[in-house]
Amino acid sequence: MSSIWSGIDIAGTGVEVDQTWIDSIGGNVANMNDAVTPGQPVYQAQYVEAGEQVEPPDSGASGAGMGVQVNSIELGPATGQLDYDPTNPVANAQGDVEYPVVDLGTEMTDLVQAQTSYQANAEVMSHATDAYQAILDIKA
Amino acid sequence: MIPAIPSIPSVGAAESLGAAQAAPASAAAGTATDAASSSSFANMLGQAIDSLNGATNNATNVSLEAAAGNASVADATVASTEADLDTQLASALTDKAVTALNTIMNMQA
Repeated sequence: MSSIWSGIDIAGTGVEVDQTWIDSIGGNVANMNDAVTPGQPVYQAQYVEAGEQVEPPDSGASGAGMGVQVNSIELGPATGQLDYDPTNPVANAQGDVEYPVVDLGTEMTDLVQAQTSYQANAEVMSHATDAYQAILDIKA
Repeated sequence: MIPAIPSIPSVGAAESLGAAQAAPASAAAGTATDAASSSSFANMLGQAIDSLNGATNNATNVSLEAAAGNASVADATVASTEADLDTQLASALTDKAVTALNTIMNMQA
């Protein structure tokens, strides 16, 4: 999507990526206690890998960039951490269960970062709108 | 969208008006001026309305998608903000064009 209001579009891509980031953190926190029998597939934490969105080389555009995009969702370790809990229904013969590798502290600091970034992008959007508004408010 | 600055052609029409008024055939001058200014004005207005229509349609569609859960709130916000600005731009350009046209018309009084 590209229009004459590119400042708003660019900030919109930032909000979009931050939303994905917050979603993935939510998924990681929600699944951090998913116990499985060791050897079974365990939940893999999701990490958003973002990158710059660039203009097609011959588009003749301003070169200011088009914002940001989610390049891929990277997955955390496929083997979880073992915990000795013989009373757990999914424990194996040795009494071990396997938990996903999700560090709550990291997730929370990431969440604060994602939230701040979301707010910053929303602020850019708001100020870009004000700027466009100012040029439209010019009366003869 | 942007090419809707043809108020410059209106100025060109004014020049042709001046040239034509210098000539004896004043009736021919009147029709020529009308044709030139109305075509550029109509084009400009048409383009403004078209772009406005596209923007508001897009905003409506994205809002519906967002309400249905298929688009993000950010998308809907961006689309409706841009539709708002498009409306103001179309309205500003139309106002300016009408002002320019009126100025030209008043020159003949």
